[in-house]
Parts: sequence; structure tokens; C-alpha cells
Amino acid sequence: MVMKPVITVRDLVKRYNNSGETALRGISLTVHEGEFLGLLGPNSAGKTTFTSILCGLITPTTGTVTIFDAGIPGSINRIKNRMGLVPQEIALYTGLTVKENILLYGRLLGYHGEALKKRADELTDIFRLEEHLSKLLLHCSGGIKRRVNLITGIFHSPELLILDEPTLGVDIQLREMIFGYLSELNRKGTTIIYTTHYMKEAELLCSRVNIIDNGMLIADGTPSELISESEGCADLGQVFLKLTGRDLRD
Amino acid sequence: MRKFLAIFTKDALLMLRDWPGLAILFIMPAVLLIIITFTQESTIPSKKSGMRIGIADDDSSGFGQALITDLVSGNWFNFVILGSGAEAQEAVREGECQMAVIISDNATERLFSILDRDSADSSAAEVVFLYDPGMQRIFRDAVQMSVTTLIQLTAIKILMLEYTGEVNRSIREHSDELNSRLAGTDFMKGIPAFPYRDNIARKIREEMAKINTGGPEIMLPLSPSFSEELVKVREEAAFAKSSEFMPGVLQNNIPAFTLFAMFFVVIPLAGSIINEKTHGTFDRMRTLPVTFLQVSAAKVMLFVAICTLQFIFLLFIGKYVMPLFGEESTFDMHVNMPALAAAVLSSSLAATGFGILTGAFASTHGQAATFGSVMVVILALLGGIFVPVHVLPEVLRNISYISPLRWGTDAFLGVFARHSGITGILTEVTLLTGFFILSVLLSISKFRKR
Repeated sequence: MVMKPVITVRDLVKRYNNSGETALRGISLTVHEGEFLGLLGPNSAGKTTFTSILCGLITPTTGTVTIFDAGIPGSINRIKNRMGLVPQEIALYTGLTVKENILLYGRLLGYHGEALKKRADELTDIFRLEEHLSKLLLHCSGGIKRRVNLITGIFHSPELLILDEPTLGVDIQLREMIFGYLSELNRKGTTIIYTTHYMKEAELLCSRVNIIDNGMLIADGTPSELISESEGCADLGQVFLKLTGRDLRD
Repeated sequence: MRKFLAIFTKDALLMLRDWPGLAILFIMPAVLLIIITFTQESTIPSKKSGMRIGIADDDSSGFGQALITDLVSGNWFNFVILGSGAEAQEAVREGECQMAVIISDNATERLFSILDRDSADSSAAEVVFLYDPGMQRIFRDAVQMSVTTLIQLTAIKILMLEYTGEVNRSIREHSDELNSRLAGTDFMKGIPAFPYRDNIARKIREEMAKINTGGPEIMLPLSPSFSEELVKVREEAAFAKSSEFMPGVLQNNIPAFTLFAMFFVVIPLAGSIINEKTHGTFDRMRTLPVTFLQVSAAKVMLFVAICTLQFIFLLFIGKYVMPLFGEESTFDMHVNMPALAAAVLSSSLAATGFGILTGAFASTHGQAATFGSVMVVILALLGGIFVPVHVLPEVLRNISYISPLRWGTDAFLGVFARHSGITGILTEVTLLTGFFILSVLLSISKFRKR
């Protein structure tokens, strides 16, 4: 069965005017409905620039991006309700409580009344935040902040979910919980783009992996395909090192 | 020592690379020093300041002419000679003069009537001291005191000249009368003629004429009813709906310091924007189905509401708390309400715009707080919050035209002190609103560049 394309990227180039640096050098890829795409790459490979363009935060220099048939960034407002972003940084209000943060994002995503309360209760239950709801985020642990950060990105059950290193700095227990939840979402049909530096995570979770380096797409395939195609590599980490080299990056 | 040097070098490098921080540390105090020095020099109104005082002579006689000569030659202030009292009223209303001295009709006649003991007219000569109620009382009083002293001195001078002339005339008349009496008296009658009889008689007459035999009564013949100052100086506020309106200190201070407080929203507002930028919430908002207009309008609404509450709070303090401390100045709230609403709203918008602009361009809380607070003090000094703009030196007065706090001060004083309607403060309201729009547009452009 041929799945519909959710994201279509053609010859994407991004050059920053201030620094003159070229972050993306003609990337083309397609992400299909229901895929769990792992976006891997060393530091400054262009992953964050790529996801920022998908979210409409950065305008590409040349090339085209289409998400749900909407041109990006021009028609981004039309599809914002169908997309979710979980940024790497804790993009929440530390002066608000856990509950207030969740409700704020819920409202901004169009929820209100009973539906808002029901969804907030559901997510706080899943991520076991009941005891912490009235705490100011400022006084919460890193793990709680990560959970709230995730909840605010998935509150509206988006069709496309973009996660930028959502497990950065979290313990193994929470990591397991996040993996379980994301796998469940993907099973229910959510298309996921997941950037990470943890190769094991990508190998475990992703149905397909793209490796970006120096602003170019250098590998595309399922984790098992990439491993089998790379001679002498037993896991995705070795494939990654073979393709990107051992030199330190900026 | 090496460790100390390493830490010192680290801190020095960090500091040297923080250009905005260095600019705040060195440029802002320099600007403050220059402006505060100029401002302090101007705290006593003088000819150097831009304050203009009109003089109108409705008397057109001795006293009026002498007073104009004395005022102008005194070289204390910038005096402008005007044609009439009506013209002086117009000049103060139009802002060409901040005050005016109007010498009333018949002032000379009334002044001289003091010398007439039999005069039934007890009303003193009058000079009207007309002032712009927007002028802070301390400066108004300083000018009025100087001018009043000169008025009384001129009156004394004129009176003394008139009086000494009168005395001299009286003495002359008296001695003429004595001489004529002596001339007509033949006291040698019955004395037999002898040589030099006529010569001796003439000599006796001459010597007797020299003797003071009582002469005229030499005393200042003041009218019995005279008991007060020679010239009555009557204060009158231009723009006043009634002659009873006498704006007190609060009438100037409440609007001025409300405006000052409003612009201090720069610190929490810029801080909130910097938080949004550094915590990533601003970018995250952009990924949500929320428009930039909704995000920014919510912030603007909140801070405009805070500014309005500040105004109401200070109004309450002025009206109900200050009297508890013995402040007798009344605060007159009988103002044009639509104009007041326009002044509060446009000033709040301008203050909010300033906060947004600072938040958009500052990188850290420290930059925003230091720049914001020092800038507010500078704009306040230039805006006439502490010292009226008219007493500032010309160069600062010209710069003050670009201070939103000056526009705000003028709008509030227009409403509270001059009882202006919307049309009277339309220029200031437009400038304040324009400043807000420009600030928001510049901030959007800065955010887009990110």
C-alpha cells in the first residue's frame, strides 16, 4: 500500500545572511504518512535548520517545502493545527505552574471548556504529573519540565510531530516512558520526525533514518538497510561514524 | 596570583566583549551627566533659559512706562513687549510666553491716589501676573517673586519722585507766601528816620525770611485707607474656566510622575520579551495556530492596563492620601474626560511601545534594565518631568521635542492644567500613538530578522 506523502522537500538550500554560512545544500526528501523518521547528523550538520524550516521559523534561501499540500512558509498558518513541535529547549513559562503551562498551550491549540480539561487530565495521567500540577515550573526537576515540554507539543494529537532531541538529559525511566508513548502515537498514525544523537534510540524507534552532514543528505533507509549496506558495521552508530567520519565538528 | 590573574582576565574579556553593556556603563552616565548638569543650571529661571515673559501696558502712563523700563533693563528674564492685556492672554495661551505681566488700566492714577489724603478711592493699582498653569509652581513662584519685588520698587520710585516734587512745590509756595507777607509789613513804622534805616529794614526782612517759622507739614500724605502693598499683584491662570482655579503642586506632579512611572514598564515588559526570546517560548508561539498580532496585542493590552492602573493609583494618592499628610493643594478633577482618556491611552501605548522596542533589541535582562531605566530618567529630564522644558537651555529644549515624555507631559498638562479638550492635545496624542506604532514596527522587523 502506497502511503501519502506528508512532507515533500526539494533542493532545499539555506544560507544565513549574517554569517554567510550555508547550513543546507540542496536537500530533497519525502516523508510519508505514518513514518517514524529519524533525522541524524553530527553537530552543526543542519538538523535544527531543517526542522526550523519545516515549522516555518526560518525561511529557506531556495528550494521548496510542502507539508500536507501547503507550501512552507507561505501557507504554514493553514496547517499549524495539524503539526506539533517538541523543541530541544524547555520552551515553557517558568513563572507558571505545571497545570497553567499545560492549559495555556491547550487553549492556544484551540481547546476550551470540558475538552480542554479532559485532554489535560488525560495527559497528566499518562505522564504522571498529578502531584506536580500546582508547582511552579521554576521549582520543578528537569524530568518534570521535559514531560511538560512533550505534553505541550502533543496536546492536540497532531498528525505530524517534530521532536528535537526530546530525551536530552533525562533518566532511563523517563526515556522508556517517552519511547513507549511515541511508539504508541506512531502506531495510531502520527507521522514523526525525530532528531537525536542517540543512535540506539533511532535504531529502536525509527522506521526510517536520514543522515545529514554538512547540509547534505548522505544516507536514507531503514536502520536495518543502512546497517546491512555498510560493510563491517554492526549497528547504526558504526554506520554513522563510517559515513560522517571521526573528525570533531563545530 | 596566577589564579587570580586568570579569573581577572576571564572577567575582563567577558566584559570587553559585551559592547552593549560597555555602552551602558560609559555612554549613558556621560549623557546623564551632561543633561543633569544643564538641568541643574536651569533650576532658577533666568535670561539664559527659554522662558519668555510678556509685558502688556494697559496703563500707558508714568507707572506703566517706568515698570517696563525697569523690567527690561533688569535683564533677569526674556521679556517680550506686547500690545495689550488681551494680546498677553493670547500669547500665554498659544505658548509664545509662559507668563505675562499686565499693567492694568489707570494703574498710575490709582498709585498716585495714595498721596491724596482726601481721596475716597481706596483701590490700589493692579498688575496681573498671568501664567500658564502647566508651569510648575516652584518656578512660577520664583519668577513671580522677582517680578513682584521689582513692581513694588518701581512703585516706590515713582511715588517718591511724585512726592518729592510735591514737597518741593509746597515749600516754594510757602516761602513765596512768607516773603510776600514780610514784604508787605512796615515794622519800621514809628521809628524816626535815621541813616541806613531802609537798608537795615531790608536786611531784617531778608534774615527773617530765612528763619523757618513752621513751614509746610513734611510727611507722606498717604490716604487714610492705605494699609497694604502699593501695587496689588493678582495671580491669574490662563486657560482657567473660572478665576477661582489656582492649580497647585499636585496638578503638575500627578500627571508628571504618572508618566514617569508608566515608562518604567520598560523593565518588566522588556524582561518578559527577553525571557520569551531566551527560553524559546517566542519561537514556540510562532509554531502554534496563533497570530503575531494576537501574541503582541495581548502583551500590549496587559501593559496598557497596568499603565492605566498606575495612573488611577497615583490619582488616588494625590486626591485622598496627600491631604492626610497636610498637603492642602487641591487636585482638580473637573477636566475633559475624553481628552483625559486619550492622554492616558496614548501615553500608555507609547510607554508599552518603548518597552517592546527595548525588549526586541536588548539581549539580556541587565542590558534592558539598565538601558531602560537610565533612558527613562534622561527622557524625563528632557520631557519636563522634573524641570519645566521652558527653563532648559536652548540645545536641550530642542532635543526635548523628540522625547515621548515631553509629549505625554504636554498632553497631561493640557488636560489637567489648561483644561484642554481632545483637539487641544491632538498633536501630542498623535505623536505618542505614532511612537507606539513605530516602536512595534521596528520590533517586528527585528523579530523577523531572527
